[in-house]
Amino acid sequence: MTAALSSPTVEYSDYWDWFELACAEGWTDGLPLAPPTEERVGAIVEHLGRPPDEVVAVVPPKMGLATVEQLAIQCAMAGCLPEHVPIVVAALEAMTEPDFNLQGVQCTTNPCAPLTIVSGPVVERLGFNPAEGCFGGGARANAAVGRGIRLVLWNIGGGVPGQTDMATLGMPGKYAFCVAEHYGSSPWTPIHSDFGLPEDADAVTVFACSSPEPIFVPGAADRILAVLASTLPTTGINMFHAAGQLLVTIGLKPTLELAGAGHTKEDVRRWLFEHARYELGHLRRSGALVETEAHQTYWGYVPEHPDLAGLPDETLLPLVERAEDIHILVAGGESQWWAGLSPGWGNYGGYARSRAVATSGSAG
Amino acid sequence: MFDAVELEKLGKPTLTMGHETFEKAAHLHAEALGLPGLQLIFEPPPAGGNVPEEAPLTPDQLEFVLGALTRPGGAGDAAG
Repeated sequence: MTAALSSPTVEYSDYWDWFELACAEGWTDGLPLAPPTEERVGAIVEHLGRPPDEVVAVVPPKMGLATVEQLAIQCAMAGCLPEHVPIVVAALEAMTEPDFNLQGVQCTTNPCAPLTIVSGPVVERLGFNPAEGCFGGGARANAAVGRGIRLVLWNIGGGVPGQTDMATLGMPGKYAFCVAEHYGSSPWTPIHSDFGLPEDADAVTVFACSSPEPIFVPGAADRILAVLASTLPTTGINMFHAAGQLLVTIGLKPTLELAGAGHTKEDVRRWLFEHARYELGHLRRSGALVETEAHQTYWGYVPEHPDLAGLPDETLLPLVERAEDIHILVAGGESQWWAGLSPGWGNYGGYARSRAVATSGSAG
Repeated sequence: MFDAVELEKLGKPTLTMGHETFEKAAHLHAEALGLPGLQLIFEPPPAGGNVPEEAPLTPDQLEFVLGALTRPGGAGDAAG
């Protein structure tokens, strides 16, 4: 080990004694941790090829300094291999871009959490699971990267429930929230190319959203699109009063069906934007839209938001401002017709951002 | 909170209002932003269709508001 580490050390011979210390010090949200030994932390720092004291990001709300060494410690506790950590670094850099508003994402009452989507050749190279159970278990890479990011947000960012994290319900994705996209087997361009990165890049895309609400989309392409369009405009999500962005995950089976019918990803995105719409009368009757409540006004935080007063009940309203605010991810098993809706936080932030992953040295 | 901290650094007294449920979070944010003494005031969150006109400040709260906004200092005063 050649990296000069500066963090204080403690010596323990029994794992559970150390874990009790970790709990007492608040280093964990409750799940067990892997001990961040000097050897494991040093190996990660060496793999990154950056000075241990280099600050990668300032993480809100605690405004903690995410140095290379601190990131390595969190990733070691998450069980990351050194080669997993550049993905954590890239994700953190994307999350700390201003438009992501990580301060708000960490503190909102909304149940959203930062999702990290891994895409490109790195998916297969590092053994990420983009198939069955992709949002759950199944691969060390998904779990370790998702957990590493969470521990960064917890320990360096200070996003602690009831203190700064005011998520009313929270969700299991706040333990770990990392998914991989099919690469090679998907007929469509990878998600990171939607943000201007080369198709063959190793990349992460971060987006603050909820766990996918399952949508069963059986059958031919027209039926898949129709079911998606009728399911997306649900009133319990932020879109009706804050627009923002949403993520539609489409399993490999329906994706192949759509592509086989000649639909590109852009075709599907555009079609969903134009057809997945709220019916104004439904918003009024449902109780979701209360014209006198400023915070519940349709797209209330969008400058010059649409004025619905006087419009007839049959008016159709888009969920988001632009088609580009609908993100499409190809992930999941090929055996059945499943898709999923992950609503974002609305126009408060959490907007999707992509970053190329540097295999070593400075992250791109 | 961010705006209040920036204004305090410019020497302008501020008072940040929030709901009681966010009191602990607000104090932690103020500390993280380097102004643990930032002037904060809290009130119960609205219930049902309650609107601000129906939840006026109490005399004590009004006195606190006036005192906070008429104090001479900015960041230095609030940092205590």
